[in-house]
Amino acid sequence: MRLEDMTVALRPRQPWEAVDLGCAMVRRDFGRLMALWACTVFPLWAIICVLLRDAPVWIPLVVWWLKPLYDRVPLFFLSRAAFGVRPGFVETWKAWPRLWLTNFLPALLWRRFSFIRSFALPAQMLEGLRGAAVKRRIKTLAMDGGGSGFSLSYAFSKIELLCWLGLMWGTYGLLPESATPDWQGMIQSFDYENTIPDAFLWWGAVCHMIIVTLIEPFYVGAGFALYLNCRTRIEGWDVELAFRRMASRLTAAAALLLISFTFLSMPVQAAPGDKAAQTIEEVLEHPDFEIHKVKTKEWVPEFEAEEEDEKKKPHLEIIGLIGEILFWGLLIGLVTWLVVYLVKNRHVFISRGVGKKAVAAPKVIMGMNITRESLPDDIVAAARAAWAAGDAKEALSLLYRGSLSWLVTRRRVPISDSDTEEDCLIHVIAAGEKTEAAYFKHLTGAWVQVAYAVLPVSNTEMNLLCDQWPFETSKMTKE
Amino acid sequence: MAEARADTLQSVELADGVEIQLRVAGPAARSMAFTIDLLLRVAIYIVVWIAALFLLVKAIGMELTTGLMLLFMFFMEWFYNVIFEAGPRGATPGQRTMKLRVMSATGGPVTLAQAVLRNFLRVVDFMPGLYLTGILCMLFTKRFQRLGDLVANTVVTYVDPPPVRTAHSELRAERRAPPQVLTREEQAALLQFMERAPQWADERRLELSSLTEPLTGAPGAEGLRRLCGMGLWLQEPEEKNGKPPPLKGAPPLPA
Repeated sequence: MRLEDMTVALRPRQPWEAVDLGCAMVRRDFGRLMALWACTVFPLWAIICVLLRDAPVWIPLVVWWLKPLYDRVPLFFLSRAAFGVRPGFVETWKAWPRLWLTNFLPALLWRRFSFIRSFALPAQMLEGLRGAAVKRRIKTLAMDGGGSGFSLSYAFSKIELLCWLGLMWGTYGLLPESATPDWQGMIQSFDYENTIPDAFLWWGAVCHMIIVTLIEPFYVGAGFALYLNCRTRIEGWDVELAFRRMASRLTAAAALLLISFTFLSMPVQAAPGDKAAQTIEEVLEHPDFEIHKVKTKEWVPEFEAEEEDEKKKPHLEIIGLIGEILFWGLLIGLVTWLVVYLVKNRHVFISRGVGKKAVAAPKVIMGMNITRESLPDDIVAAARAAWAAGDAKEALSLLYRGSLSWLVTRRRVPISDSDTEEDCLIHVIAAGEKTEAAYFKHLTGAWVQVAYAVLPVSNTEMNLLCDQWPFETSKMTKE
Repeated sequence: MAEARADTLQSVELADGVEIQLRVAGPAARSMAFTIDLLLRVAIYIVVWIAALFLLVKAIGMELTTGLMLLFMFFMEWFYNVIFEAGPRGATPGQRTMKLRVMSATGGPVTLAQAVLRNFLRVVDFMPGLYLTGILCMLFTKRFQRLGDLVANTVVTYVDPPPVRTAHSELRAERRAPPQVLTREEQAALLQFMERAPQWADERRLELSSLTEPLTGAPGAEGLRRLCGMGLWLQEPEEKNGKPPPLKGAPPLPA
C-alpha cells in the first residue's frame, strides 16, 4: 500500500461528503464492478432460486440475508482500485473463496444486524485482524464515524426499498393478468397462498435482485469511503501524502544543488536567485505574458485646408444667407396661415351649445317641413279644424309634424332628415320621455295608417290623439 | 499520475476566469433532507387538518373545508420546495438541517425559474414510482443531478462549514522560515499538520515529521520542533515587533 498511488482525493471531509466520495468511486468503475458482481453473485442467486423454486416468496429474504457476502468482492476491488491497482478476473477469482470465508459466520449471524455494516466491513476485511481485536478496532473507528455509518445504512436501506417498490409499481401495469394478485380476494379471505400467483412473487424477487445489484455496490463504496475518511482524519493520511511528495521533491532538488555546487562551483546562495530569475524569464516568455498594444488612429479633419477653400469661394456665404431667409420666411408664413385657419374654423374645435343646435336640428324630415314657422300657432286646434273639414290626412300630418318639430327643437332628439318614421320612433323611445314616447308611438301608427295604407282613422281615436297632446306648442311659439 | 483522482468537488469556472469548486451532495444526504421535508409536510397537514376540523367545519361546512384543505395540500406539494429554494438561503428546512443548499451549476444562487423547473420536474423523477428515475439518475451523473437538476442546470451543494477554531496550544518552537521554497500544496499540508496535530498521538506526529527530514534537516523530536517552527512562520510570518519579514516562501535573495 503506497499512499503516493492513491487514485482518490483525500482530505478530511464531512461524513456525508465521504459517502458521496464512495459513490463517485463506484461510479468510476461501475462497469468492472458489475462484471465481477455477475461472476460471483449471480451463480449464488441461481442456486438459491433452484433451491427455493417451490417457495419463491422466501427468495428476497434469503437474497437480502446473504448481502454481507456480496459486499466483499466489490470492497476487494475498490480497496485496490483506490491505490491504483485494479484486480483482474483471475486475481479476483483466486481471492474469492478466501474473501467469502473470512468471518463467514459472524457476518451472517450476529453481525448481520449491525447498523454500521458497510462502515465496519473494511476494518474486518482489510486490516487482517481477528476476534476481539476486530471488535476493539471497530469500536475505536465508530467513535468518530459510527453515527454516520448508521445514517449511511439507514439512507441506503431506504433508497433500496424505495427503488424496489418503485420498480414493482412501475412495472405492475405491464404484468399479464394471470400474474397480478387478486387483491380483493386477498382482503376478504386472508388466503395469501392462492390469491398471489407465483409469477408475481418471482417477478418481485427478480426486481429485488436488479435493485440490489444496482444499489449495493454504492452502499459498499460509501462505507469504504467513510472508513477512508475516518482514517484520514485520525491518522492524517492527506498530510502524510503531501509530506512524502515534498520529501521526494526536495531530495531531488538537493541532489541537483549538490551537483551544481560541485561541478560549476557556484555559490549555493546565488543558485536559487539565478534560477528564479531564469524561471521568471521562462514564464514571461509564455504567450500569455506577451504584451499586446492596441493602436487606434483617429481621423482629424484638415481644418486649415477647408478654411482656405472657403476663402476661395466667398459667394457660398451669400447663398447660405438667402437660404436662411427663405427658410425663416416660409416658416413664419406657414405658422401665420395655420393660426388664421384655426381662428376662422374655431367653431369646429370649440363646442358651444349654439353651434350644436344649428347643426343638430333638421328643417325637413321625410320631405315634410317641420319648422315652427311652417306650422299654425295652435296645432291641435288646426288639426281639429282639418278633421272637421274631412281632411284626415292633413289633420294627422299637422299633429305629426308638430310633434316632430317639438321633439327635434326642444327635446333635441337626434333625428336627421334621412330618417324614416320607424327610425324617428326608435330615436324618440331612446330619448327616454315615456309619456311622449307612448304618444308618439300611437301617433306614428295612426299617421302611417292614414298616409301610406290609406285606411280611415276612427273619430274617437282622433279625439284621443288631440286630447292627449303632450307637447306645449303654445309655449314654443313664445320663444 | 495517469488518471484523475476520484473526488466530490466539481470545478466551475466563473465568468471572470476564477475557478471555484462546488461541494456537490449525493443521493444519500439528499434523501435524508427529502425525508425530513416529507415528515415536516405531513406534520403540517395533520395540524392544519385538526385545526380546520375544529374551527372551519362549523362555519363553512364539511365539503368546503375539505375543498380548502385539498387546495392547501396542492399548494404545499407544488410550491413548498420552490418557495424555500428560491428564497435567500436556497434551502428547504430539511436541506438546511442537512447543511445543504441548491445552487446553479454555474456557481451562482438559484433563480426562481430554476427552482420552479427543478421542482415541477419531480413528476418525471418520480416515475415509474417512488423516485426510481431520480435516484438512479443521481447515482450515475457526475454532479449527482436528477433529471430536474439537469434540465434546470442546478446542483445541490453542501453549505460551507463554519471555520474550525483550533485550540492554541503552547508550542515551544522557534518561528523560522523554511529553508526551501514550498509549493502551495506543501504549505497547505504544513498548515493542516499544525491544525490537526493536537488530535494525533505523539508517535504519529513524530512519524509524520520524520518524513520531512529533507526540509528540516534533523530527525526525531528536533525535526518536529523545527517543522512546527516553520508552521508557525507560515501561520504568522510577521514578528510581533520585528522587522518586516521576507516574502512568504521566497528564497533569501543573493546579497
